[in-house]
Amino acid sequence: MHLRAIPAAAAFAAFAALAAAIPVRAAPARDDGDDRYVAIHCGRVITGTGEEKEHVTVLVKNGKIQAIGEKVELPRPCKVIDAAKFVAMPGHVAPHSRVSLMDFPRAGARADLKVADEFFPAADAFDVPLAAGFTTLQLVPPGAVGIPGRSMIVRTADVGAGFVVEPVGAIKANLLTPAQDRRMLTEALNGAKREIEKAEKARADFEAKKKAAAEAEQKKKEEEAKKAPAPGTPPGTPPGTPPSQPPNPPPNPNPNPQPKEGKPPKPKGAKPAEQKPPKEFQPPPIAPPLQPFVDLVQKKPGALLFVRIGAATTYLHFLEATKDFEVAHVLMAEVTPARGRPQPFGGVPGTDLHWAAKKFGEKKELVVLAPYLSYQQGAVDFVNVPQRMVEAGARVAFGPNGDAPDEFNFFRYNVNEVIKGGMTRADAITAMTKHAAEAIGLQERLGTLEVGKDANLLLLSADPFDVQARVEQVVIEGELAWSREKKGRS
Amino acid sequence: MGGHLEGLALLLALAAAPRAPAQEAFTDVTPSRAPFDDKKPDDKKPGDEKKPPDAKDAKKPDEKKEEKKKEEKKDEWLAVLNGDVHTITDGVLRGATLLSKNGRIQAVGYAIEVPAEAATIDAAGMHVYPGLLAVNSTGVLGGEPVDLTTDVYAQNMTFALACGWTTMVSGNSAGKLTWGSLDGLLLRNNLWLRVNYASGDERRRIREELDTAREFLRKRRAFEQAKAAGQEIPEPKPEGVNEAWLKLLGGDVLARFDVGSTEDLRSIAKLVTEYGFKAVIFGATEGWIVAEELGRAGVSCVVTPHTPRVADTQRNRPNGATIENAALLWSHGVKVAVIPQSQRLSSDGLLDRDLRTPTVEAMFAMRGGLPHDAAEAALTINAARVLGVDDRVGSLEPGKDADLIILDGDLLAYESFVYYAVVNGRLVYDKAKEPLFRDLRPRPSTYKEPAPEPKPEPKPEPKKEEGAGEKKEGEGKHEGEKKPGDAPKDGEKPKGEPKPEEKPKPDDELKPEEKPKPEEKPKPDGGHPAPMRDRTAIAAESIRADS
Amino acid sequence: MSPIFALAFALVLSGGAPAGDRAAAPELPDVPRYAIKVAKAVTASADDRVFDNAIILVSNGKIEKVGRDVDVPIPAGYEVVDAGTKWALPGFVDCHDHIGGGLQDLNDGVYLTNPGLRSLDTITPENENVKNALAGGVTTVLVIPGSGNNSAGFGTIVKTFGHSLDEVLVRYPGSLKIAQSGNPERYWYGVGRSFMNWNTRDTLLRAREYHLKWKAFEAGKGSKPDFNPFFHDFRGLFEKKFPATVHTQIYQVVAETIQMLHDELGIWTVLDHSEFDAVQLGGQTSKRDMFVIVGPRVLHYERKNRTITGLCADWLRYGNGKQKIGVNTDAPVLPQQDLTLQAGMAVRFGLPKSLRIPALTRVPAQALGIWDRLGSLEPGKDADLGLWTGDPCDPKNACLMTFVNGRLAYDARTMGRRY
Repeated sequence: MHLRAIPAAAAFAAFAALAAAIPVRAAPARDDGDDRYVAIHCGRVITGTGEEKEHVTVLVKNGKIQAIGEKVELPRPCKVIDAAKFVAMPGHVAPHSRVSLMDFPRAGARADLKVADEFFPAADAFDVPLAAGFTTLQLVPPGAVGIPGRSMIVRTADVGAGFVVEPVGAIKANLLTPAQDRRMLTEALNGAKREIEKAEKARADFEAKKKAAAEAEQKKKEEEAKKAPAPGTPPGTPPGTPPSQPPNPPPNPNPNPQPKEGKPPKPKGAKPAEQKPPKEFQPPPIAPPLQPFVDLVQKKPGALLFVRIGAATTYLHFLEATKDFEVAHVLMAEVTPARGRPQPFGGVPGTDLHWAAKKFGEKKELVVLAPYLSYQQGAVDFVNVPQRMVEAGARVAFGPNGDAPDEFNFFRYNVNEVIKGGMTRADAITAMTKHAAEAIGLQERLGTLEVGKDANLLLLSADPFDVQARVEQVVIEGELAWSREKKGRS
Repeated sequence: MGGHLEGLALLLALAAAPRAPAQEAFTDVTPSRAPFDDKKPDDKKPGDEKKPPDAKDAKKPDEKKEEKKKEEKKDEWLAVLNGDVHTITDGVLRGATLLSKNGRIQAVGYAIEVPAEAATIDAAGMHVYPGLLAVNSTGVLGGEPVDLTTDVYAQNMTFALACGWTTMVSGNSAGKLTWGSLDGLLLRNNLWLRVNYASGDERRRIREELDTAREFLRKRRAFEQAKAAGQEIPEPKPEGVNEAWLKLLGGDVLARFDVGSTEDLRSIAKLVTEYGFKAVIFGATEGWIVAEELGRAGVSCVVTPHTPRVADTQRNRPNGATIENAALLWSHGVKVAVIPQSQRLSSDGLLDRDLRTPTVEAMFAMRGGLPHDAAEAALTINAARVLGVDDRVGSLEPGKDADLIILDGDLLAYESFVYYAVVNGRLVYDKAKEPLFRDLRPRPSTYKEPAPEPKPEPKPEPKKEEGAGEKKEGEGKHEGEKKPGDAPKDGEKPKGEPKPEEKPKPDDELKPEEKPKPEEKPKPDGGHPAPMRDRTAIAAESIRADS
Repeated sequence: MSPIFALAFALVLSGGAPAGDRAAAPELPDVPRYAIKVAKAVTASADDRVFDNAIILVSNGKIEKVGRDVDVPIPAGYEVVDAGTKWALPGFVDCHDHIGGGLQDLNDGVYLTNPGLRSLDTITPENENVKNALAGGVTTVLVIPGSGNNSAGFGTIVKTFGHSLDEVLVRYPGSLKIAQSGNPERYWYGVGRSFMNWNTRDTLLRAREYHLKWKAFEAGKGSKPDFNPFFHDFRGLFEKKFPATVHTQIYQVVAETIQMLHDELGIWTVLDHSEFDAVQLGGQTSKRDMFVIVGPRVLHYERKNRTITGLCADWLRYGNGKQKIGVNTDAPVLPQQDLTLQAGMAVRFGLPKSLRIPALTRVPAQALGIWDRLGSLEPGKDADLGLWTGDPCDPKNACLMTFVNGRLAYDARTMGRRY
């Protein structure tokens, strides 16, 4: 059969069919009213809660895990992913990424700007982290100074609902250079506090004015009633003239005075003698760079501050900057990997975070660390900062140290090195799963494989800390987003 | 759209609002316990702190605690026991006790009641001195503003503490070496008004401006007197008056000159005598030649004694440097402070007169004839006077900051080492626990953290403190010995004691908490499974095994 | 100096006595005889004798007698120097000094090894630096060329007081200066250790060859070899009349020194500098009874453990307590008068206090082979001594009077306080 002989339309149809057959681009019938079920038979599941189960089935309904168990009754119809030879764990989360975004500097306190405004990804923009097993990325605004804006959370593959998981997420703040950054942070928080006070004061004023107006109205009525001439007295008669005859009381035109809807009280031009009863309260507008901080200070759900700190001293500056406030926050500290020659010989500087670990632990901080051993400051010995943090009582989340492909591809390998250096496997898994999701504020939805959470699974050919383990399949919200066979990448 | 514009206007207004300069936001004279003072009305009022140190009623837990924060405003006590306390200004008290509360020295002497919750250092057989002050330095504090740029976890800071320093100067700011904390780091900004009294034109200009300033001050004094007497005269205006000179003549700032030659020194002595302000002279190499004038002018001098006789033999007048400079200045009443030649702190092995050996510098002053007491003062109270912070540091007196060092010998003996350093009442250096000098004449550390809550025996003591679980800042680099978060949470459980202000701890919870993990104690960075060793070390060991 | 040079040249040509060697028998002017009364005389003898309330008799440039005042009657005609509160110590010896020539001829690096040069001709006895040395109690120094190349010549041992070379000379050659590594790398376009070692060995082996030929000739066997001024001064080295003082530090380099110079070539080797992690070779050097002179660094920062240790203390520790240790200043890197401070700091950082005086006297003197002549207050030795206000290693104390060859070289009261 020669190609020429095939009519173009038929060829096109064949092509379309072929295209439709690639699972990544499949658009499940989510919005057609039917529930979509996917069952994943796993050889082993590392849930991230501390439990590891053998030979279980994960039943996913509409992207959320409905059941995990050995014998799960599968509804019909149900797509089945056979991962009986594989090990499943929650898909990785990278809390500080700029994949698909350009790098450019940004200065100042601009919490009004969003990553969402620069987000125009290509279809395969996230293939590298996806193939490495990352299902969720928090994209952060650019720059290493000041408060550059709000992050956003994306999934690494479009499985039907687009890339965006959370368009406007945590406020990113940098505190690498306290001399410049700390004041900005304090001022943002103080500014938010002032705005809140201003709004409260305005509300109080409004209430007071309303009350005063109502009282004035009441008083006026009483006075009028007192001073009012006897019904029937001809107009022009001076007040106080005794009535000539009892009149019929004039009809009250407005028996139930109500405040009118609409505009806020206008301060200028208001005639003191007659004040209109003010309308419903409108709070004064808040400057856009401060609005996110107002939400943060008022502890609105979802308000989160993601602070990038550097050496141990910067953490102390963070505490000072936020000492008057209790804000939900996540820290990301600078872990310098012990690669290459250590500093005394002209190489990599050492870390001092382990000396401050106790302080992190006291506050049970959630701190994102890159999974590396570091050199100690001033010496050639290694120090396991993540382990020390955990031992001190802090909550550690692991995140790749940048967006280089090696950081994604060797993520589990690096975590394994940290385990070899002394961290327990359980702590490491928690850091990769549960805490990583907390670090981006989506612990309700992500991080562990539990009923009700998103079905983001990473299927590996062996234990995640086995050097030979390969990513076999990546499932995002129940859909097979990447498969080694189909994509041909290892 | 309207809202957007308003927002923009607001933003511009915010941007245009006068920004407080760094100095004002972090005040010049920061009380060492500043972070807690000005915060909430429920906290301790300032009056509370002035209570005399009576252990019995020393601490009342703050009952109006609304925040669940762990840093409850408890008093921090530190006691240095049984040491020879060299107060500098008030003699030596042998075998005495020094008690510090919340970073200030509460008492020095004998028969002092030490609260049970005090951290203690047993300094028996050791010598307690005020921490030393470096009137210039690089590499330890950051650039100005020092409270924002200093790395308080840096090894250099540990090293500086190990050499005896507790206060250093960077540029025009004085900062303390508060390792591991930002509290009380900044001591004072705007230390000096630097005056360049060099060329003839400069001198003329300075004198003219000083005359103007002085004239203005006279007029203003006259105005005030007249006003007090009820007369009406026009108020003098400070037009054309240099603010800096007003401050100088008013005694609010010290003038600093950096000169060394006889001629310069003599002119400055004249200037200071004539206008009557406080001055400090750095360098003063030939000060010994004009010591009498300098003494009469009442200036302080910062000198570097470790210099042999260096003179230009071609000149027929005395000139050049001499090791007797400090002694000769002192003998004429000049307050002498010393600083080594290099203000770096280096661990390169060359002992090249840098900040690693401050006491050696002072010992050279003694070599040149400076008496022992004056040599001690040169590193402590006189250095504090040079910085204008002698109201706070430089000697061990009640009311001053608890910045001190503890040595195993006299400060000015070449074998003495610093074993402990305390800044703002917290232990920031413990020789036994830092690897730096740990193996040199080691002694076990006698630092004890505050004792944990005593068991509820039938004691008359009414209140129990949450001592055990609380962190103490003074621990320096102890890690992980107590789990800090446990105490408040578990306090409620089994005992149904009705007292609301107490947070009693059940007995069975005391012991596991008290007991630190044994392997964590000895080394600050030990107690962990041996990290990977690099091959060089293994190779070196195998070579060593052969020798 | 020309007549002396002519004499030396004549000696060389005659093929007689080892050419170039200068044993000093200086013709000194008449010196007064002194009886010096002190509170303490630290003799620095081999048995570390100390006399309290002592008297030292000095005559003809030598120490005549030292002992307790009750044991030493003062003969007639001796000028009494009453330093009744002071300590008397021997004049100190510094093995590593570059100021004898007034800094003009520090390094002549024409070849990677040009040891035929000699510092003898550069000595300027009365320069300022040397005058300050007297105020620091230092009376004997080995003036050596620098370390810009592997060997820049022979050093000269001189006293720090005298008006001419004759008066100050103690011995030439004082030593052969070798700089194993740690500076010569900058020679020209840069050389590595292997090449430097080869070059040094090559030079020394050829020098030894030359010496053996002459030795054979002098013993009657073999023909007269050609005279080679480049190698002729080496003969004393192979006859163990003077040492090679070797600028050497760091573990690998010191190991090379031990192996190549001491073991293989059998040279009397003195380690000069001996800094950084070379301390770990203390076991090797003490076994071979080698002299280790430490300086100008006193400390070593051990990066692995983040500890600071004293170099002298470490040498002793690795040497199992048997290592002979001296100190130097590498003047002008440190001023010559700070030699005692070096010893004081060594004590501060762990050297046992009893070893501080030997480190300034006996050890460097023995290292240079002049111990029989000076370095202690013992009868018959040169009258080089300093009068101190106390322990000389304590920076608080000063040397207020210094005698060299029995002559008053420095007196703070009359000549002005120098240090």
